[in-house]
Amino acid sequence: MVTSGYYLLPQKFRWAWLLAASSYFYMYFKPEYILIIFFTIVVDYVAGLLIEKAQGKARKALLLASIITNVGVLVFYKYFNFLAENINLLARHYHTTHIPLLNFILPIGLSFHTFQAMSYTIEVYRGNQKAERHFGIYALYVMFYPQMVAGPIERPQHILPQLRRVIHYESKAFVTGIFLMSAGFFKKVVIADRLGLYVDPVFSNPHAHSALELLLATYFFAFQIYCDFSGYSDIALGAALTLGIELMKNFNMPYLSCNIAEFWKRWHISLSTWFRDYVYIPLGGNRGSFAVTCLNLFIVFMISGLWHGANWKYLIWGVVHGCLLTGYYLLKKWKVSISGYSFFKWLITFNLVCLAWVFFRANTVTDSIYILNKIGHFQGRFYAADDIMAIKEIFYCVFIIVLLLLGEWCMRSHTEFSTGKKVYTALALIIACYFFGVFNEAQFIYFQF
Amino acid sequence: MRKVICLLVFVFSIGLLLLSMNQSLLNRIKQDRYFAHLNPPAATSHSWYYRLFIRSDRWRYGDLYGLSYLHPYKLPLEAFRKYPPNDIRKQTNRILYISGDSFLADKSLKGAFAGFDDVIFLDRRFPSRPFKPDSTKENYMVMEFAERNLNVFDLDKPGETGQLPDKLPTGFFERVNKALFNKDLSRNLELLLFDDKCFTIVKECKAMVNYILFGRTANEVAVSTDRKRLFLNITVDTSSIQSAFRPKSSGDIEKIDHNLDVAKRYYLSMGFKKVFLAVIPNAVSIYDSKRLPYNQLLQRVESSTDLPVISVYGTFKRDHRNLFYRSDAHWNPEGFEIWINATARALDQLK
Repeated sequence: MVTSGYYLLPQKFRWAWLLAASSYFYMYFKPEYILIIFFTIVVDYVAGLLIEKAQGKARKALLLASIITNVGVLVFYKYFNFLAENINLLARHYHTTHIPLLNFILPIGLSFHTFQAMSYTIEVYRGNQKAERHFGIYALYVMFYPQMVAGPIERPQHILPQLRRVIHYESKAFVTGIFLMSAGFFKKVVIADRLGLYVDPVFSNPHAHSALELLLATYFFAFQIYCDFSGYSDIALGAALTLGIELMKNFNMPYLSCNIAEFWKRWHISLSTWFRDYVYIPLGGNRGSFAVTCLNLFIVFMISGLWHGANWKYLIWGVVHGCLLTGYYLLKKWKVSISGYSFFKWLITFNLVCLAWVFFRANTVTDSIYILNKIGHFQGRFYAADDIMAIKEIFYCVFIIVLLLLGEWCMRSHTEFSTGKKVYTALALIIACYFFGVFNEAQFIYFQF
Repeated sequence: MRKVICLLVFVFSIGLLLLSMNQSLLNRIKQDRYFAHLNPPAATSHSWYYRLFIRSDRWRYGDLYGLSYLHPYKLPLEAFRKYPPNDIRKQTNRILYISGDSFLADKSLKGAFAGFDDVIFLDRRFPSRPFKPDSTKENYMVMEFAERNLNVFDLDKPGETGQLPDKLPTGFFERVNKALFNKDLSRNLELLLFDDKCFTIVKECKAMVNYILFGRTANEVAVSTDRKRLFLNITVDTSSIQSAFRPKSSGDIEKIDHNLDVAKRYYLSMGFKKVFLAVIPNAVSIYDSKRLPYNQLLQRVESSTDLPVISVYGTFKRDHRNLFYRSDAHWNPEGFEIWINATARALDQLK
């Protein structure tokens, strides 16, 4: 409906149509939360205009005010209860006052649109982007519905000109959009949700499972989260492309990486580059001593971990990745480089990433340590989780994972598919989604962030 | 041409969206689809509304078939015997109330029991206004439960005694808000677009592919170990409180007894002369009780309660006929008749 309405309307009304649709989708979850996003939009819109006009210290002050507002909203809604719980733990120890917890649900996609809004004011401050005069277009930049709830976190230089451009219907882009959307749905309902049937019960009760079952759940989760998140990104890219708008690529076959640095260049690219451009480089990046570079990396990964959720497990997941990356740069510094053996490099990288996911997925840090300990000692080499997933379904899962990797490899080597091929593939994917998909109303994992 | 296609898609989508936002229409469609197979075709088939919307196989072959679409269980449902009202000249001055669930809902029971002028069914599944029994008559109450529902019965819960659980939207903005952001929108769209006879074959193919390849059925349904029938999964899955295989402590039984006792006292205080308890066993408790260790809930409650009990468990267990539909969570006409006879025998003792 939105797409057909979009092409029926003249260009000058399209932004309003898209903004209305985006507002509706946002309000569908909890109508009153539109006020929160509206507040940050107003603040950043005004801040952008003022930053552009201001000179010297005033510019910095305005940027800071805008960032503090955005981060303040994020911290309040996402981290207040986490902070209060931890302060209360300490308070109980020292018998001091207790902070009451707030009872509300997290506004959907808060972390994503806050970061996208911040990138706008930062880019205006840096002079890379002119302040947007049109309030509606700016609001649409923050709220553009395909990517509002789970990214990709866009940059103003990339999106704002596209929202202003006169877009004519192009069947090639439209078909590519449908193709990407069907590929995204396939990843979500055929792979991620199928793997979730095994992963979720195993991780919710790790004590009842053998090391083999836990190891399998760990590998499966790696692909579950990849297919869930990259599936969403594909749907977002596709939905935007049907409107003639191109979003940035968020994943580039991360599990084929041969080292951790490469993994982070291929995984959640829009967030990695956001942290690189707005946190890591301003902190000094790799311009200082090796120790400072490592410290910067740790800071970035800790923030990145916490960005995912208000829980110690995410922080530890970030720290683990910080350690892995530091280790990699240390090896590089000591010039320990082995040419060739790509398969072993890939194998090591893949396994390290998978083991780090345990911290991300387990319910608590204690659970993750228990799981890793059990896997490390290989306690229980039997498979007895037939009630959760039969062996033949496990093999099927492995088969679709291999199929996914082959499919992505094929896509990379043949960058330009013909429109006809895309139509047939999309049709086949949609049929596969229906017959092999799991429709248990499971949300996208990254919606909670 | 492109603009025309766009316009058609747009108009169709708008129409569909508006229809799926209209919850009262959707509720009517749902209800009519549910009862369509019970209504005589002549009365319904001519209306455009029936031709357009009431074309579903979901309930025609049993609720469990409708949830799972497993083709081997696409079995016709036999009709129940109807008990029209008794001869008005033989007044007994007694009224029987039955507070029950889906096992007795939609049944014609007015003249089922000879010693009563009327039988009034109170559907426990839906909240209703508080009722008052006719004080000029002798009123009796039968509390009928499906075994699975015993676990969750609590008279103090909203809805059980006529309090409405949710405040309905009254103001204009409240109603607009509820319609615009209707939380059932995706389910309504699914209902409008795909709950149609012509999709039955596709749904059956999908169900069979998943059943044969992965041994999976719809979450709400479980297949019996002999594969002859379907069960409601909540009566099988031990993670559900309603499971026949979830161990029940003596504390759990005491809690159920207490809740039944509260209900009994409530009805007696309303003026009922006597309150009976009738528990219909789960199909799985009769036909697949060795699947896992059965918790014996029904016998334990029947033996511990001080309510007079209309028990059919033993009769059901001994009877070698099929007493439950194979594709539905409820009894079939034979099972229903056994219960009617058992209840009639228990009520006869009042004479």
